Amino acid sequence: MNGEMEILEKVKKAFGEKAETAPKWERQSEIKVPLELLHPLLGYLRAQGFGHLAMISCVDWIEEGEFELVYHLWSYEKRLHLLVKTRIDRENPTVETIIPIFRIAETYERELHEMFGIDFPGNPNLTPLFLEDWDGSPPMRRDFDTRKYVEEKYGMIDLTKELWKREEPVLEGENGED
Amino acid sequence: MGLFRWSQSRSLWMMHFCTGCGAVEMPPTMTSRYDMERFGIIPMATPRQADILLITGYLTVKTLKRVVRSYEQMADPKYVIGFGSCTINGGMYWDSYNTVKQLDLYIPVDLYIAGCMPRPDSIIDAFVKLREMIAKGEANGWKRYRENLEWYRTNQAKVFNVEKWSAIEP
Amino acid sequence: MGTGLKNLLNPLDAVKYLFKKPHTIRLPYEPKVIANRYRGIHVNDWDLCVGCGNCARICTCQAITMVPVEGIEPKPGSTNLRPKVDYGKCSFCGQCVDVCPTGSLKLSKNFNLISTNREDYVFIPSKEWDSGPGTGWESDLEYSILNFERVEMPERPPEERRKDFEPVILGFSREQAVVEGMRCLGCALCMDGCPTRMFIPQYIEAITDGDYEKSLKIFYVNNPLPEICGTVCTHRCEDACVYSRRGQPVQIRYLKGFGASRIDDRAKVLGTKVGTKKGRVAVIGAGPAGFTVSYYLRREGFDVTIFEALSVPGGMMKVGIPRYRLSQKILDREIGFITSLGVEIKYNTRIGRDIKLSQLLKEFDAVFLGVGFHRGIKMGIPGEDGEGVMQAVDFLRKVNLGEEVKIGKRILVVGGGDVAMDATRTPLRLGAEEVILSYRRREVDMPASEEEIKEAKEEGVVFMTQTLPIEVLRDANGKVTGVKYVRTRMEDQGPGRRPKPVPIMEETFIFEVDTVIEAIGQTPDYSLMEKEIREKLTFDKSGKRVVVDENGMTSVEGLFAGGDIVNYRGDIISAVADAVKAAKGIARYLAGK
Repeated sequence: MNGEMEILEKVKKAFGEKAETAPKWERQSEIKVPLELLHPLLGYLRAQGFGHLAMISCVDWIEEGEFELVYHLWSYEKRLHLLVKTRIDRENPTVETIIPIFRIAETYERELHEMFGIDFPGNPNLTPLFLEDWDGSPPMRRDFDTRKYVEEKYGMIDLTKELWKREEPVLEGENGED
Repeated sequence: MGLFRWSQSRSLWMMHFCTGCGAVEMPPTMTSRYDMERFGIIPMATPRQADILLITGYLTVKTLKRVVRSYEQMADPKYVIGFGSCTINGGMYWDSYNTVKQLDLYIPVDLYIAGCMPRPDSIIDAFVKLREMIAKGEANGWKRYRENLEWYRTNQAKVFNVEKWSAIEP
Repeated sequence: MGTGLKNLLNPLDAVKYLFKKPHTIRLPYEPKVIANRYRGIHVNDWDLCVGCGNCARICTCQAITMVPVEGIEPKPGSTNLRPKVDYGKCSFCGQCVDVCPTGSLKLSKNFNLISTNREDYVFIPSKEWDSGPGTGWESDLEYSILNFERVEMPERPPEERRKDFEPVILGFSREQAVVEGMRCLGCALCMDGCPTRMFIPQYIEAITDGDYEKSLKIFYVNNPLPEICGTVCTHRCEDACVYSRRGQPVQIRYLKGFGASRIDDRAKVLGTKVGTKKGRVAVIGAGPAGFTVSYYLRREGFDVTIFEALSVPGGMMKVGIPRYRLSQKILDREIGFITSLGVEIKYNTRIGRDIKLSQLLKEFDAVFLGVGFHRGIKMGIPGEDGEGVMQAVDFLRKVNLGEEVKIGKRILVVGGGDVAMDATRTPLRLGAEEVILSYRRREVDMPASEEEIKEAKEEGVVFMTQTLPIEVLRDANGKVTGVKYVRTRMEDQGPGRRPKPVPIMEETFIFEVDTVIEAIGQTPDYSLMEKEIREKLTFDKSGKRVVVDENGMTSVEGLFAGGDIVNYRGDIISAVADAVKAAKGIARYLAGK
């Protein structure tokens, strides 16, 4: 527990109030920062011994119109898992690449570019990774209608269309009157 | 002609396209427990030498492209076995955005084996049935492919998201 | 040196395997023995299957759908739908079997489904692939993921409750209601059991979610007496519940009562707005049918006047059902909301005595008749007339209206229905020492509901089944001293028919009682209407009930009917169902007028 508090305090000292830090559970803590502090923070943490960028994940907060990027960092010396979280605009998702800090980020960013449509200026290789000949919107976005896409593209035989539906009540005020 | 077909049915070389989970069922089928070699079926790694193309499960768009290319490289007569529910109607990947649901829209399938995954018993049974079909001259998927090449090409082009697609001239 | 020879002979080692059983399985000539619990192709017993669709709803691959099958008759608690499986999607996980409430669906040991045609993989499973009982993946109550046991309704102990008229049931707590409500699978089979087709799965869902306002709105779609029905309904829905096949049904009735009791002020949730339609409707009888028809017509905007012979509203709900089953608070709450919408009630107005039916038909645009069965049927035995023998309906009415009733210490009740149960349990609360129930059939033949019989027994009612009273004995002053009775035996009437009681006349016995209450049935009193109208009405075969069309209208124009005088079931919910139908019919009739 001590190691965690130590690094979180250090981050607090270096980045001030803008970096929200919270221990999650044993050997895992999270740091929430605004986008402009992301790169300095990642650089700082790398220098602190968090040399392993395990992955970059993304959460689609569609109701709030934001993507949340989560950078998973691991330190072999401290045996600590840090989640660095930052929120970006969903309409125009752009984050400067972190390849200068973590070389491995190239592949992760490539995947996020493909699955969520996030742009990473500075990444030289934002070509399709898994999806060949993709024509839909990025599939991991929550507004991507998987079933509609599948039906149109692959001609799925959907048996559930025949599925019996139970009777539903028409409540007062729901039928447009009231 | 009958003797010719009979001899064909006794010596089938199989290319197993093991990208799906069904691949795990192949080792017991090949080895001494089920021993498929006694039916004259030998695993073969190259398409040009193979008679059977075994699709063991789901295919993504990306692998489908390679499968079609491999299939077209195989020499006639050639047979396709669709293995597991995924090749019939998508299986558990029925609503996945990146796997094809009905294999026979893209390549002609001679025989399906249901299951998730099918047991080696089913696979042996399917081989025996395929042998009978070949001996009787019923396994004509390769002829279908030739006759309806345009139709298959259109379907392939649709999932590959291009106007026109050909395995020979990519 | 020696090694050379040894190397030469080594291959001969293989000879020792010559007579060994080979490791290879001689497929396909000799199939491998499959594990007993293997999950293969579906097997469905169509006779057991009720078509609830739980298998289709649970399937994560959406491989199952429900399709109508020809030759299967739908009936309450069982539809003509059967699962159809797509083996192009099925992953043989067996979840459909685990959630099958009837246990009809199973996965057999057979799995060899090989075909050249893709269409062969979609079919309706029957017994075709069966591998025999005890094999394959079967549903088992022991590890089923369904909960077949209900939450018992808390009740007051019998010794305590037989002393007063306070309610017997205590009502669910929030936790109990949620546990019970969570059992519901949402298959909606119960809706077929309910005469008025209440939206049961939807309101149970709302109650479980704690959204009582929504549940109240759903109740009032086709039942304006939810809390009354939630307490004393005959719960045909529970008989149709899919759980009743192998366990205890979801207690739909008490869940409804729980949901309705959460909201005291109906008007706040449902509003008191009425429509703009014009017309005057007279409703005869302030019972469940009368109030239901008034509620829905008033909501549309019609002017409704109820004519009630008694001085209190509620009809049989008030004067037939004792207060320990249905409290005055519930009655006031439900009826108060309906009258607050502007329904006028004229008490102490008996049709035929105070006002003529023909007059109502002239004055009003439509008349609804919901008078019920308020006259008891007599046994027709010697000594029946006179003091000491009374009808259960009269007895209960007097007790419920607070009038004084003279009863003795030892009481005989004749009959086996719900009215008989009420007539046995009420005297106990009035101070009777011993109550005997005489019924001519066996206990299993009793039409009374199971819990009524159970509760009456707990309270100390003595059940004398297969007895038939033949004479009421009186002393010189005309006071009842006993009842002479004979035993009966049950005569089998063939399969599917109710056994008939046949009296054994050789030997007679005597009940020593001082009061006899007859509860062998009720009949309507049509003396309220004039002869001309009665002649124009169409009655059914029994001559007791009025025949109505699909709008609830009788053969007399403008005269609608509902409740006990129309349906043979004779319970509140059927009266409500008739009245909902009649309300729609009246609205349509007045629109066309």
